[in-house]
Amino acid sequence: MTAQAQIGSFSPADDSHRHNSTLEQPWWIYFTFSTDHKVIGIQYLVTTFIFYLIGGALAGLIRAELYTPEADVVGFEYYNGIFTIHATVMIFLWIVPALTGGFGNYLVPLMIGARDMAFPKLNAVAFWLIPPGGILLLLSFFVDTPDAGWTSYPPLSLLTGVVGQAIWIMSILILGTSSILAAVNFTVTILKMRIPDMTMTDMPLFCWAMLATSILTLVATPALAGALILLSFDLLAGTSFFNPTGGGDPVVYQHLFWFYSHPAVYIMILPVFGMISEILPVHARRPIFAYKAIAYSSMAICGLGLIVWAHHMFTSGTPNWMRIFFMIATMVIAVPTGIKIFSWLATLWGGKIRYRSAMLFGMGFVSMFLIGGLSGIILASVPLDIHVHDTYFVVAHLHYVLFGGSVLGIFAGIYHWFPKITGRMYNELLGKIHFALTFIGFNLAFLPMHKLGLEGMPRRVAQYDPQFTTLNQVCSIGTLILAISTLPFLINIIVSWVAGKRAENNPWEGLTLEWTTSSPPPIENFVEEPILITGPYDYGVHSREALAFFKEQVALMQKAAQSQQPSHS
Amino acid sequence: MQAEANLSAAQVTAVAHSSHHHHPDLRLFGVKVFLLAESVLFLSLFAAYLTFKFTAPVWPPEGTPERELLLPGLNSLVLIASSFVIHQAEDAIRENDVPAVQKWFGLTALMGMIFLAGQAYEYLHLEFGLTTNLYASSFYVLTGFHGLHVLVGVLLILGVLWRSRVAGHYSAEKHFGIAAAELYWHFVDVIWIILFFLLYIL
Amino acid sequence: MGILNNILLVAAGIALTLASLWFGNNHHLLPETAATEAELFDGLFNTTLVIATGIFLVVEGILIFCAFRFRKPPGDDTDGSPVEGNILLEVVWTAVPAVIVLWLAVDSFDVYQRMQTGSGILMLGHSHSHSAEVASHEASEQATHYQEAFTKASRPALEVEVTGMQYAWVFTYPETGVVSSELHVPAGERVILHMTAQDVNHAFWVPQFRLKQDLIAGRTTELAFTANKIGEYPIVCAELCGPYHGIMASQLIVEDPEVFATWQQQQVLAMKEHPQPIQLASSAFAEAHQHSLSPDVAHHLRAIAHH
Ligand code: HEA
Ligand code: HEA
Ligand code: CUA
Ligand SMILES: [Cu+2]
Repeated sequence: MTAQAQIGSFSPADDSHRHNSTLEQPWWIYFTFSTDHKVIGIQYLVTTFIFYLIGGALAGLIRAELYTPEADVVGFEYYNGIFTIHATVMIFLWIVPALTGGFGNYLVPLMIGARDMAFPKLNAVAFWLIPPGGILLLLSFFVDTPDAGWTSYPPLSLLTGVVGQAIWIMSILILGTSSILAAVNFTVTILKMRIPDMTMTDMPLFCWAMLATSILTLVATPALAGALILLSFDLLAGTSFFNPTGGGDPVVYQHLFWFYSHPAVYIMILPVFGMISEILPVHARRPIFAYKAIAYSSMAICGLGLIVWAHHMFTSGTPNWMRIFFMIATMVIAVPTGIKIFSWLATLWGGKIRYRSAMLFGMGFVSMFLIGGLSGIILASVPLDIHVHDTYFVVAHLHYVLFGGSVLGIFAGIYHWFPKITGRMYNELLGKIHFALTFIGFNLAFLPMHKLGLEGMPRRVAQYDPQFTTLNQVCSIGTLILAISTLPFLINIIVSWVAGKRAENNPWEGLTLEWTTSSPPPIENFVEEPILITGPYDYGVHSREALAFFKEQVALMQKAAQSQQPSHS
Repeated sequence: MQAEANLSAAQVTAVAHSSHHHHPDLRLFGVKVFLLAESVLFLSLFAAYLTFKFTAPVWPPEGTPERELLLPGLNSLVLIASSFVIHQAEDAIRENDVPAVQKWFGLTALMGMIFLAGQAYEYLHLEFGLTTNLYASSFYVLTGFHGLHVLVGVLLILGVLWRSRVAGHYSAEKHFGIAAAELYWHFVDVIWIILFFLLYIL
Repeated sequence: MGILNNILLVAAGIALTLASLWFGNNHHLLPETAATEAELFDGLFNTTLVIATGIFLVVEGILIFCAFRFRKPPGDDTDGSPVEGNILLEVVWTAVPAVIVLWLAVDSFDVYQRMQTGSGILMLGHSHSHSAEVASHEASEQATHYQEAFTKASRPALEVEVTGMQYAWVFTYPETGVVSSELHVPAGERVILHMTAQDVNHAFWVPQFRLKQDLIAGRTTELAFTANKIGEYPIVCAELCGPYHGIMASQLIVEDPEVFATWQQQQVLAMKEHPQPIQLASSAFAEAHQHSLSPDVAHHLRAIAHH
């Protein structure tokens, strides 16, 4: 990473470049086909959060059903549809679009000093595919809910409700298109739109993570589309690609599906890795430890992530050599991931940690993702996976990485960038209560699942052996606490957004470029193209000077903007 | 690594810096990235096809009627030739010669339509249907999906032709539409060559 | 100071190792074992858990240490130390995990091979500390007994055909033609299951054996094991196969070889008396689950069966 600061300057706005001084967009802009990446980012974040609440409410139903061993709450007929929609919503309508569409859109152009994404209209199109895709999926509750799990393996998916399955395929194709379009946009933006001073290794690590994520999306998502196109022919036109009765092979679907869906899990975690690499240095006041190792390990995870998919198929009759190959490749991913974990620890070491909500969630992420990663290693071992495959051990793993990882990371990101996005401060106490409740509820809800799976409880069942009752009840109580934990968050966010204290432009004294503009940033982000005067993580190096410079820059900018449109507030 | 970078606000004096510099047109790069994703889509279908082929005891499955090679062969020649035709347009626009572009694009569109018509004719005269067997299903889905892409390509070309009526819409410096349509056309062509090899020859 | 620190560090290292070893071997996370494969599994699982616990303690330990030690002192608004990297450290934390996972992969491969060839049996007495600790004393005695019987007789494996259907299991013994809805196997003998699914995919899982294999429509898959403890164990369907996937269960009965032989003879006789093959489709399943199903569900299933 560049250690020397590049000294640059800021010149007053020239007339050729008028900028709107409005700092806040009118409320209705969020319901339009706006092409401003910040508006789109907020549209994504709010929309996907609503889907999170829906997915969470469905999780509430799952846990209510599993509170007792009998299938007495939603019953056998509806249970499968509920967890299918739960998972589909959480993955395709919450984590993936919130991380890439939400944070990626809002932050990437700001962090690289660009005025917008490379293709603003395409960006808006990608966003506006999300609501129809999501509503379509939810409407299936009123017709014929898809109920073959989020993996929708044939032949089962061909034999349950045709309408439901077709809706599911349609919805995923729409959402997949959206994420491919977004990935094209990010790839071009990150590679080509950086301010001229910024080399690849001057980029904030979040941008590296988004680059790796976008490459994965581009290379993997089309395979899912391929699988679903063939599946829909089987379903609707009577072909038999995956139907053994006509000579097809259901295992081919599994390969195609996981060729996408394993990379998808890294699509759901790499941006979070990036955000954590931004958040920890700021609140610990330390340069990120081993910048290059973290950046390149994202690319390594991207590469390795493409060649491990069959670890989901260790019991599918996969040939032996394949199982061994995929076992080894999978385990190797622990190495680049470990590099990140240890570098984050070293970043904290010797810091002066400020315990703000973002930092609590950030450190909570490190501690909880670790557990999910370690259970992943157990799953990667062929003989161990044979016992725990398709049990609650896998459910525990996936929620530790997806909730303890992705969701905690998203909360960290929301708190960290809330002042920048809204121009307001949130309430720190409520944030801490949110963290405490989430942390406790999460562990109660998912830790016992490890034992359930090892002891013999399969996943995707509405009714279970009464010997598992106690642990299941603990899980359900944990879920209740999780549901309650969203209350302080929602109150905090809504009240602060409307009536919070005005935020400074750089409340956490960060050094990445988004902090060099006003909060919220003006329409094209910077009045003048920003100039790199510091590396993104030079805390303790020359951060005081850089921060003073930022302050001056924003002041000048605001003055210039005001002189252009004096009447506007 | 540290205090050498001792900048103070005062040191930060004016180094006149132009306003936002203009980024070169990134759209063509965007199209290339998108085509990367498109090729994976086709690759996944090819991979599925090859798996079916190599795990089946006999391929094509017994009872599949002989495939006629003449018509699809001619059709392939038309499509491949059209790639060379459309390339002429690229040279023409470098010379600012819009009428020549229109000529070459028109010819390419025509050849594309001939290809589509040929394929439609083949569909109508084949002795197997979509659900006859795994080979037949793969055949229709792969060629149909490719045909859809040819159709999109033809529409793109017609779109460019439509726009080229306005004088000055395309020039030697500014002709993204022409370049993108051409690139897409080449892509569709390459996919066809692989497809032809897989379905008819292998 | 330096010496004190070193001593503390060494002490922490020892405590951590002991804690990991203890937890890895006393976790009580697994049900009893009833097959040699299960003992192999437990050995590998415990080793892996020791390693995972160690990594967990190191990482969480450092995290918690940092959380307290490097809090911002009140009134101090300065930054932390500007260190940006340390090549030696980075090499260590790349190399150590690499070695660990490669070693784990090799160990897993080894265990997997022994599970498949059934050579776990021959290892029982004299190898890995793996098995002995986990299995109860009685069980391992029993195991040794059957293992001896096995090596002496070295009979060919017993083959059973398994069919999975929504939502029932059918076990066919091709040698005798016996058809059953429960799987009876002799203790100490190698059993090979040839499995297929009639409608959608299912998975055969016996938690006490730690073995699972999908039943795939249109394919035959295999699963081999050697049961070593007499008893009844649940057979669980582990692959989503429809609304009633959760109650697609059966029993695996491990018997003394002589008892098993008698059972088989009885079945053969019974078949001669009632020549028509036993009806084992969903109706049988619904009958068997009368009590656990709500009346309308059972009715629904019977309706399916009468198609
Ligand atoms: C964010 C999502 C996410 C992430 C990041 C991961 C990460 C990993 N996953 Fe996970 N996984 C899922 C989401 C995710 N997974 C989901 C959703 C499923 C279920 C799908 C379904 O069936 O519905 C699943 C299922 C799944 C399976 C299949 C289980 C089965 O069905 O039988 C396997 C098997 O190998 C696996 C392995 C791994 C591994 C090895 C990692 C690794 O990347 C983890 C690496 C991290 C660490 C190891 C911790 C940090 C490292 C160190 C501190 C260094 C030192 C460590 C060692 C030396 C070990 N996962
Ligand atoms: C990003 C992904 C993600 C997230 C965040 C979650 C979040 C949660 N998940 Fe989910 N889950 C998956 C991804 C995810 N899950 C996947 C991929 C599967 C596999 C599906 C399959 O097998 O096909 C799965 C499956 C799954 C199962 C297994 C079902 C089965 O196999 O039978 C369970 C069971 O407990 C569960 C529970 C939960 C719970 C309690 C939460 C909680 O964290 C949710 C907390 C949030 C809230 C509770 C919402 C906020 C509160 C309200 C809106 C108020 C109303 C709520 C109540 C009244 C309770 N999930
Ligand atoms: Cu059969 Cu689940
Ligand atoms: Cu995976």
